[in-house]
Amino acid sequence: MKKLWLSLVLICFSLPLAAKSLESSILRIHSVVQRSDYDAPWTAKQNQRMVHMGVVLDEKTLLTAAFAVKDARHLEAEKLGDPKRYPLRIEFVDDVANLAVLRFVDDAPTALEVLPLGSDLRLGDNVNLYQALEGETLVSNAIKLREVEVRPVYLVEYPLPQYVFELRRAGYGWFEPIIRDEKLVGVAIGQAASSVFALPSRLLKRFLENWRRPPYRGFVDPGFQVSSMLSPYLREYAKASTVSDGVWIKSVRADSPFVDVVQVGDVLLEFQGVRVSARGSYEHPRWGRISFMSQLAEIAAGDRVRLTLLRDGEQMKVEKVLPAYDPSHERIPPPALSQPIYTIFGGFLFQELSAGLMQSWGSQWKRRAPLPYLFEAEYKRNPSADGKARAVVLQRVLPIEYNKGYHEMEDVFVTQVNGRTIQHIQDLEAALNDEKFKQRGYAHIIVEPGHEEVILSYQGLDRVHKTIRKRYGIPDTARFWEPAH
Amino acid sequence: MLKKGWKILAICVVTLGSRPALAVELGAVRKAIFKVQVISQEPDYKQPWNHQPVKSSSGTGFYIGPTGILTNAHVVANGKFISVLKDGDDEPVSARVKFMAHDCDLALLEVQDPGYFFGVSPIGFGDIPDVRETVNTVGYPTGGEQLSITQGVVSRVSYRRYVHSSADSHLLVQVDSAINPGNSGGPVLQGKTAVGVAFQAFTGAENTGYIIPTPVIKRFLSDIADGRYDGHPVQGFSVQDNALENTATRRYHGLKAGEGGVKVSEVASYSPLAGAVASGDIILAIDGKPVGVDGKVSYLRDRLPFRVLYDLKQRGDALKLDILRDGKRSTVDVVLSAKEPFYDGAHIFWNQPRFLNFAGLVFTSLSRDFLETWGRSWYLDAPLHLRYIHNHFSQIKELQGARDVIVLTERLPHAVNTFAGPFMDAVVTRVNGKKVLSLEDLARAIDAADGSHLVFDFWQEEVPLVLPLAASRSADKDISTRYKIPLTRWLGPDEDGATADWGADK
Repeated sequence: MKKLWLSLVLICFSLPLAAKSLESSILRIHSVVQRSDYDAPWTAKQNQRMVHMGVVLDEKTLLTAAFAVKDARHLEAEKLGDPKRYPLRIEFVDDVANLAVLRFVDDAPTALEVLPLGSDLRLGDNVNLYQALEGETLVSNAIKLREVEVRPVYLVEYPLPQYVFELRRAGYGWFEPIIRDEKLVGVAIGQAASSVFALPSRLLKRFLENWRRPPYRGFVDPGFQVSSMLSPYLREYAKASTVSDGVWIKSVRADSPFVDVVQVGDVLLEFQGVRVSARGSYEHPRWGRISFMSQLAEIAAGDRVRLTLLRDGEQMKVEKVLPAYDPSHERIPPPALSQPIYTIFGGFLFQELSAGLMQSWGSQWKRRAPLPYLFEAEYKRNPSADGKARAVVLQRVLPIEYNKGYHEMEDVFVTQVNGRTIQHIQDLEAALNDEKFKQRGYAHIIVEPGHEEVILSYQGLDRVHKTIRKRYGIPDTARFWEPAH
Repeated sequence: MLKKGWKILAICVVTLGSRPALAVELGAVRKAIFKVQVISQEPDYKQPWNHQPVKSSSGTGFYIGPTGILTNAHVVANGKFISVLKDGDDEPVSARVKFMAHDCDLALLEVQDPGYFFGVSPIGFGDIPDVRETVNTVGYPTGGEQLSITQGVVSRVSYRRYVHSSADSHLLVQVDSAINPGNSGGPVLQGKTAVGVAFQAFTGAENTGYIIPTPVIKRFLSDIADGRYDGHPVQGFSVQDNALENTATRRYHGLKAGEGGVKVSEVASYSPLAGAVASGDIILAIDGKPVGVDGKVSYLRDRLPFRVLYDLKQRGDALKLDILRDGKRSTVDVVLSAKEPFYDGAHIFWNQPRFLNFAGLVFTSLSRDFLETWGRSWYLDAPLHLRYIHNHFSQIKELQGARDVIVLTERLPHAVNTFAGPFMDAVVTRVNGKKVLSLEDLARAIDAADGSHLVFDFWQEEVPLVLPLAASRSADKDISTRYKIPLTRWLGPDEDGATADWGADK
């Protein structure tokens, strides 16, 4: 009985003791964030104060989430128990990994201790998640690794393996460190219902090693999508009945390094020499059966990627050296690239469609955003070969006498300007500078759906733009179309 | 419309108005106004061989002469048993639908015994009433058994959506008397003549009712004169409202000072205007009537959208349009007949939705009714690609000419279709490489298929659905038996939902 009581006492004291020693390694990061205003892209929204967690890398740098520093105007660190705030600047960010390194601008808190990285967890491992978004002490939560899921990180649609823990209380996912045996084994980066998602230590390690030994080698994108191939009839049709593995290649992006060697309808049998099941999974030594896409976490820009394909019953092997994945090549840029790209011509506000613009319809944007936008994002998202193509929209019209007759137009795609197909805002600005049309005096703009044609005069545009600036309080820094000289 | 909070409801019945009814003497007209009682049953659009529970409702109708009793289509839609009750009678008599016009929400009923109308004077039709004129809405609204009379004033004449089909706009008249459930189909009288049929109300404002005015009624009666209802002419074109208010745009197109017109933005391949009118053309006049820059024409004593003149024509009629194209003026004559089948997004009200069941896969034709199976917020909750087709059909090249937008709506699980789950609600475009534009095409492609597999391609899906042909054919009967499906395919005719008759015993 005595032993039992002693054990309970030890358990009760062990957590606060561990938490106290971690206060030199886990800091609170305060940020002032100013998000873009997609409705009025020449300005920004009201400042927001946010709190995240950070982990000490050395006496001058901290590790935190990329989303924690996105749009941050001011950053400072707080060490628990130390009343002082320490200004930080952004040293390095990888939006794909969702990780960022911050450096103390001047002073740093004293007696910081580096938290060493631990190894990958196994399913069912018990760990502790530490949080101190409020209060004076680190709060520990005992959690168990439920599963590993390959899912996109918040800022870009890039699949990475993430730990999934069960935590019934809301309010996690702000880069809380996950620790086992006084080593960092993961960081929480999101929560949905009672599932907390965390980046595993292998991703932290990869990021830090790459950052410390430049040049930084980012993640890669093979540029094709697959679909499971469970149907034996689909296998017969694809002449793949001789094998029970492999997935159907359902699309190959125009900018894919494999575009000239992989076709829709090919069966992907192996990825980097690892057999891919009909569900698109493989047996991971620690994490069980997970998506073969988790192997992307092991590949860096410049690496050679090997595929084994089945086409018309014949096996073939292909390999390519893959460049770094660049989220800015996406036709509809993800939230990571949140700067609205726009121009104003005669009160017509044109903007490139982006995840940020669609999210301006609020938390229910997947239901509330205009149907053509949602359709474009779902079915026409693949990038062009050069990665420059965007969907340009006429967001709305700032009404004045000059653009009378078109005041009600909003949320339509701009497909042609002065006879040219429009791929992005620069295209649109260049097309509006077409000398032939300028000399004739009229700009022609075609919008879809509905194929409406807008005819606007080039005469007196300077005066028109001045009027719009004055009437709608648009600052001089706003981007208005200007004639090329 | 819905975004701005408008809720216009078609109602099966009439109401008491807000103002105290003045003493209105209907006299012999009372005998010409009938309570219409309907037992109806709608199909189940998800499982199209099934029907929903039976409902009962009532509305109003009025005798217009030997042609029968005029009422609203929505009063008798999907009617399985219809009866009419004369004012003062104690026994209703059975009736059936002679003509149904869902697009303009009108229906004509007949009873078996012509002697039933002995002594009943038909109600004649007057003109469209002037704004501020007083009218009386007469009918059998819920809340009582007696004939009710509600007096109101004409507020405006306009051209807007009829809720019953939800896809058609026609001329209508707004009155300030509320129209309540039961009023629908009743006459709106000035003196002893009808100036309209009560049919819908705007629930977002008080005492805002709408009536179908006599030009629409007369067009309907003229349409059925040959023994068949053809419907209002198909339009299939869009215009840019107000674009020609813009000074530069007017100057560019060479419009004269004071000259109006409306700019055409898109002409669908199925539109009667296809080939005669093109995107960018300016319609200057319709049948000689000048169109303003607001897209309106002078009609009777009002200015109304130019489409009113188009809409009041019969299918197959000629229409004259004065066009301005590239600075040149011309007159074109168009025949108002659709060039090819198309999806119109209206409620269909068929007795039996078109469908085909093969190997436990149920294929049906996209319709508003089908989309509404996703609930009241279907326009937000139905699958994105189906909503997109519903709203932008004419812009989807792959689907042009389609009589049916074929949706794989249901899987009745069986070993042959185990892997079809991910294709639910997908739109079929090809079978074994052959384009299918109707359920008949689909049936032919399935029936004629040979080889080992049946391969379905879907719109915006990069993976085909592959079925084993022989096993699917042999499983077909077993699946129908197992899931108790009485009918494995229904490919038309597009029979109207109102199948009520007066029974075999008479």
